[in-house]
Amino acid sequence: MSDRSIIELVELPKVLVFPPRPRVKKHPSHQEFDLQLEADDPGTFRLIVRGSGELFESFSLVLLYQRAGLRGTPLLRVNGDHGYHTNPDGTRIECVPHMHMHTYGELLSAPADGHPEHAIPLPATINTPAQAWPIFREASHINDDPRMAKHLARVCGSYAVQLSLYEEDEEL
Amino acid sequence: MTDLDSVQMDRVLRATFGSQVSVRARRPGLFQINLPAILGDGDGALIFVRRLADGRLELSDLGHTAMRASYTQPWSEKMREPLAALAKSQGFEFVDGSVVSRVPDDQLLAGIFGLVQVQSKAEITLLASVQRQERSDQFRGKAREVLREAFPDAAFDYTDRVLDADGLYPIDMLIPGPRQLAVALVANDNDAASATMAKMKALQGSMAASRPRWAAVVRDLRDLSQVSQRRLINEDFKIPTAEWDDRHMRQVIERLADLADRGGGTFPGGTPTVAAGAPVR
Repeated sequence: MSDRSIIELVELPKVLVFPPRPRVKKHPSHQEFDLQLEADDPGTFRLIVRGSGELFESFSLVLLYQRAGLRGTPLLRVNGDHGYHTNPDGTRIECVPHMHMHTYGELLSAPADGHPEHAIPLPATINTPAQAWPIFREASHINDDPRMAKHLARVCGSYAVQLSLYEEDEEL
Repeated sequence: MTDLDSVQMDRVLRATFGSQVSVRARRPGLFQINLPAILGDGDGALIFVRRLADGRLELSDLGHTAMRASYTQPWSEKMREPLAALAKSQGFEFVDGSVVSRVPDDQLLAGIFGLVQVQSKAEITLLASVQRQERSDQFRGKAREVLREAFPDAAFDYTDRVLDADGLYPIDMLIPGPRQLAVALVANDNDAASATMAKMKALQGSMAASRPRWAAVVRDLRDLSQVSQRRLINEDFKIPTAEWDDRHMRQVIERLADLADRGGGTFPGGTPTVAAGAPVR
């Protein structure tokens, strides 16, 4: 897949199709749901949402593209704070949310040295999939839908509980 | 170290890895170890450690390996076995979706290396495994569809209810004819092993008297190990073609019909069905 076609695919307007695919996963280590996205393209777009069961701030929103004869390809991904990230040029994004793109420099503003980056940092205040959704949605050209709030909350369903426990422990 | 102390751990790890390592408290008693170990997409390896009540350290990925593997496809049980095997190869277990090992303090570094190995190999291992299983499933589905149409009187998943009451040794397909033909659909080494076990079991019972012939329809003989190939040959499984694809379907059906002494089969959209009892060619 060329960079040009990646850009075009990312910029295609996409519409969320509800309901999400039923979950079949049995283990509790992460929460997940997938939604199909409608777009004017012969391939298939999917929104993949994943959230760590133990670290609510570690999550992923993925724009996945699938086409006959082509392995499912993540075109764009927002990760919560799972740890650091290192770009191809060796620069390091410390432990903050970040956005992965195949050639991010071509999709937004290319860095001065012309080397493509794999990820850029996002504000550290983004701690949940719901908080990351507006940025991800805009970058992926996906429509907004009020039903997303409920589904995103489920991925970090224990968020409030974990946060309160953590704050209590911090006070101790 | 008695209580898990991030400062102490930081000192031990820096002595080994240098200044590029850091230890970060993620929750009370739960620490993330950041190493200069980078996964394929540039993210750092995900290594978490906490002290257990029995004094050992628990090293875990907190489910991130499975989570990352599910970016391109939802997590499925098909992914469990290869990830568990990969974890085991490095002294870890795959428990409730997480890659976990419990180690004494003096094995912490070895454990960290093992967990990095698991994560660095997981994506390609799981992808290859899932693709293999999908190819196998597609082959079995397609082969059953074509063979069911060609041999409408054949029995699928046959088991001897007396000899094998639990259905542990099914024969994929049993084609009646002047000479009964038992057919195994073999997509991989597991299928080849199952086929030979099913034959040995069947010959302990009433099927032995009818002296059936045996055939293996293989997806691709080259994908089978030498051991599997020898098993099939030594157990006298006739193999119509080395590879199953659209070009060879007619050849497979005709060969199976020959082996059942039926004199031909029905190729979808082509030759009419030849019922059991048809003249022997």
